[in-house]
Amino acid sequence: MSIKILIADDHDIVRAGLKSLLERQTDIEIAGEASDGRELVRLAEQLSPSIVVTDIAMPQLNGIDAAAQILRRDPDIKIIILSMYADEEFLVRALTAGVKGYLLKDAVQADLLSAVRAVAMGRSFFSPAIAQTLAEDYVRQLQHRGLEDSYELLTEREREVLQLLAEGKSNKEVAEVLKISPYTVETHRTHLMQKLNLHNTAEIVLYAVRKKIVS
Amino acid sequence: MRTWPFLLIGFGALLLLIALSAVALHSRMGQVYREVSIIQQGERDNRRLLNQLRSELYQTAILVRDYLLEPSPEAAANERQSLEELRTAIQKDVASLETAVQTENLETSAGLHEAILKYWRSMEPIFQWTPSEKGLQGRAFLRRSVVPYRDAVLAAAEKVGEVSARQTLTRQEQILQTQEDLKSALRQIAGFALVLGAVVAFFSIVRTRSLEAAAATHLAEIERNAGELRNLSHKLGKAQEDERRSLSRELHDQVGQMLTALSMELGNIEELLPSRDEQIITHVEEAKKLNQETLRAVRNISSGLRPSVLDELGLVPALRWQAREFSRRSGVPVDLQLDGEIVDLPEEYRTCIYRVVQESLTNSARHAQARLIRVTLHGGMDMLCLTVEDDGKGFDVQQARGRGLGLLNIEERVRELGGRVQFDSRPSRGTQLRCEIPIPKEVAV
Repeated sequence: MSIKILIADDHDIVRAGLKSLLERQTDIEIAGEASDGRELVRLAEQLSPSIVVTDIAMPQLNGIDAAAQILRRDPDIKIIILSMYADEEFLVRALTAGVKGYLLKDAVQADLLSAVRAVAMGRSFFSPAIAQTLAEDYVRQLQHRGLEDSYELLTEREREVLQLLAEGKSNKEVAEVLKISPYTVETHRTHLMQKLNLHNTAEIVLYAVRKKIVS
Repeated sequence: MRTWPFLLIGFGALLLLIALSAVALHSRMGQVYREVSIIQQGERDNRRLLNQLRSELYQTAILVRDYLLEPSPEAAANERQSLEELRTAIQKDVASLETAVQTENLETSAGLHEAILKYWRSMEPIFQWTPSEKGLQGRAFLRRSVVPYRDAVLAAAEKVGEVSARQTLTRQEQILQTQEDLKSALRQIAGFALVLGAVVAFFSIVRTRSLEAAAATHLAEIERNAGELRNLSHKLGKAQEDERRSLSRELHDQVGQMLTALSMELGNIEELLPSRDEQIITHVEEAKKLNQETLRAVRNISSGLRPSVLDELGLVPALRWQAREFSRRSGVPVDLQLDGEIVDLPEEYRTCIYRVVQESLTNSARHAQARLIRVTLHGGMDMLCLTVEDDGKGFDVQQARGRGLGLLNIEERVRELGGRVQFDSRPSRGTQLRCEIPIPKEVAV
């Protein structure tokens, strides 16, 4: 079964490039193209693709808000954001909206297929360049505040749970992988969030990306 | 035209006239008072002398009668003694009277003198008389000789008195005349002062009116110019912002997307290469790298002009982004505290806050050499409150205002939205910027 992909970008030239890149893969099928945020939301509902690849800056509705609307209707659709910006603000917003992948446009050629495959398998994917930028900022912030990296405080189990959660797995899926009960996963999750001063899943993912636990 | 020399001369002359009149009046009044009192004193003295003379004359007559009637020679000698004393006194009085009345009327004076002389001479025979002769002829002598002579002296004295009174009257008239002269002189001066005053006042009023009108016109013009300048600077600021935004978007949308497409095309070429020629692959790799760097450069320029975070995600993420970027570039940590209603602000408010923070951060880093900067933004019901504090070396606000456009820019931006800016900075005590921007009800979300 091929992977149905809906692509969205307000520039024909970028869409054409994405298409030519994806169409060459035998297991990938382009379900449709949208040139603005509203069209994207409408087509996603009509075509039920398994993956959406979208730009952020688009007329009518930006890619992140469109992603949030799509996921509200169909949480199973995996969304990959394609952006020129590696900034934390965009990433946080995208993660909060529930996207699974975030690619930088300057590395799209190298990363797009890996991202599509990873997301199709239920994992998260972020351009390595993002992780690099975020990690640098994180270290600088810790230095400014005179803090130590609290990753060292985590137990072996908590680190495993952190990585699996950051890869996009649910508590249940994590429980299956680690062969423990979902309640235990929840406990580990609570502990690691306390230790790392994180408040939601988006922050967990962001932290993991910074620490290059996931990419 | 310069007015003040004319006014100086006009008012000077006026004041001089008033002062002159006052001085003249004052000295004249004093003089008159003195003259009048001298005249009155003289008149009183003369009258007193005359009265004294009169009573002394009566006394002589009495003494003569007593002498004639006195049988005892010792007592008579006493009477005679008294009479001699009286004579000396009268002589003295007449002399005083003559000096007082002066020589204006010599005839009158001589008349008195002669009458007295005759009076004394008429008495001389009685001192040769024996007591019996005195007893026989005394009364008749008194009646015939002493009394008429005495009356003649009295009449002469009366004449002197009249002359003295006339003299006084003449002097008083003279004084009155000088008084009249002074009065008319004063009238003339007053009239002249009045005319001069009226002219100066008229001139002053006309001139003041025209100057006031000119000042009002200038003020209105200055205000209009200031308004135009504000308007212009507002337009300029807006034009600059629009230009930045459109340039940033253009770079991002056009150049950025084309470079993205180019990067994909390069990927396609790499994949489709029939031969795995190392040289070609190296060149394609190089081209990809160059393309990537170009894209990054475009992204940085675009963000520098106006970060897309601000337009795509709003103020809060934009401020976080700015704080981080600033720290990255300058090495100065920024403590950002945001609370209250600051989501969904209208575009111009977002831009204003963003640019004010940007300007302040730049100032702190460039001039203050701060080690920590704290940015606080609080969104109240109808007010946005922004503070930017640093621990740098501070500056003199007045001096800084004249030096660069930074502070002026901040003030201008905040004022455009009806807000207020307050700088608090003293050398070596850090800087605090505080802005309050009202959010109108129809704008608040």
